[in-house]
Amino acid sequence: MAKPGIDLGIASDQDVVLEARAGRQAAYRELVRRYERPIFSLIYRMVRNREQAEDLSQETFVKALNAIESYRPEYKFSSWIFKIANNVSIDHLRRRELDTLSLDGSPHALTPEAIQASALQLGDRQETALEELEARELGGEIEAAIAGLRPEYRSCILLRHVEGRPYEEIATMLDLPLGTVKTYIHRARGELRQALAHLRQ
Amino acid sequence: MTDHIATHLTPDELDDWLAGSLARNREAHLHACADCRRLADADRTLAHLIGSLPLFSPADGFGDRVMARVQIRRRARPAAIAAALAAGLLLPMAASVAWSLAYPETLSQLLQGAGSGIGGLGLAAVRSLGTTLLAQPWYPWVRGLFESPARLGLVFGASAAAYAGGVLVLRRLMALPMPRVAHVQG
Repeated sequence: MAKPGIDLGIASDQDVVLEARAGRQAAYRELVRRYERPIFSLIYRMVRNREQAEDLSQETFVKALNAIESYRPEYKFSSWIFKIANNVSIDHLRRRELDTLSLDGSPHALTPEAIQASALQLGDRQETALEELEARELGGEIEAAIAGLRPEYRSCILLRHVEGRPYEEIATMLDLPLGTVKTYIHRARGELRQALAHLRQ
Repeated sequence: MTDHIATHLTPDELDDWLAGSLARNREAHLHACADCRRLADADRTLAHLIGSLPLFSPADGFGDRVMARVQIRRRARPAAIAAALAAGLLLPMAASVAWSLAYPETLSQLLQGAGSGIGGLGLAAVRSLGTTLLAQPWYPWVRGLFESPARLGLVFGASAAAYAGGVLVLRRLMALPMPRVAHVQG
């Protein structure tokens, strides 16, 4: 049980959630501080647009924190919030059918100019000079390869290898059978191996 | 029977290898099979590359923007709830006792009047109900059911079955649907 005045910096997620439920504003802030980067990164890699990723990350946190009473402490808080983030991203992609449209910029781009410069057209197989520029960077190659995956493969592979979540937890987060999660990850790896094969040569 | 050593590693076994938990006989195959070794090395490199991708930060002030939209509810403490309940029950009771002590004659008159009125009404209602029941055309048939133990058993059995069926139907109707995640096709 969380005690009043608990040190939020070292408290477990469960204890911070209990403090938030008791109405402690600092506990809400602590949950945002802990998860803003992982959640933003996941969503950014899903939607490949900084502005949309900001909006969707905000939506994720607002949904989670406004429903903090319905969070069940027997599950990991991280699983819960990643589940919300994934649902928000998938819903967004479904609405926008983003994969058939222009993908707005590399996640490495921080300025509006860089975002514009690194805009990626997945539908366009002809490489532009800017794509070549991005391709010189290993991180950019991998990001581009991940962006080329189907959204459900993408969320599985990011949760598995960026977040280091076990298969069972991913299955719970995404409401998918364990076998389906394994299949998605194996297929995603296969596609990534192919997409990045030239790097090994 | 398939020679286990000769078959290539399955995707699950590649996962086991990445996790360092591949069975020893399968390790032997991996050492001997160049195809599997190439695949395993590629998977390990891939996992390492994806795992070392950086985390991105949202723009400054992200936390403030989130907090501006979050409704923080103060949960009432159990002691405060108990005190409120106690006050809600005890105060009216105390007021009632005080009023009764101050006006005993008025209370006595009220109780007598109410008691006789309620009693009269209740008796009239029971009589009316009894008369109505006896006048129903199906009454003799229902009464006949209770005259034979066999019929009575049959009636109870049918009632119990109908009750159990009703409960089962209600449970199915009230079962919460499983939440599903929307998936993008293609």
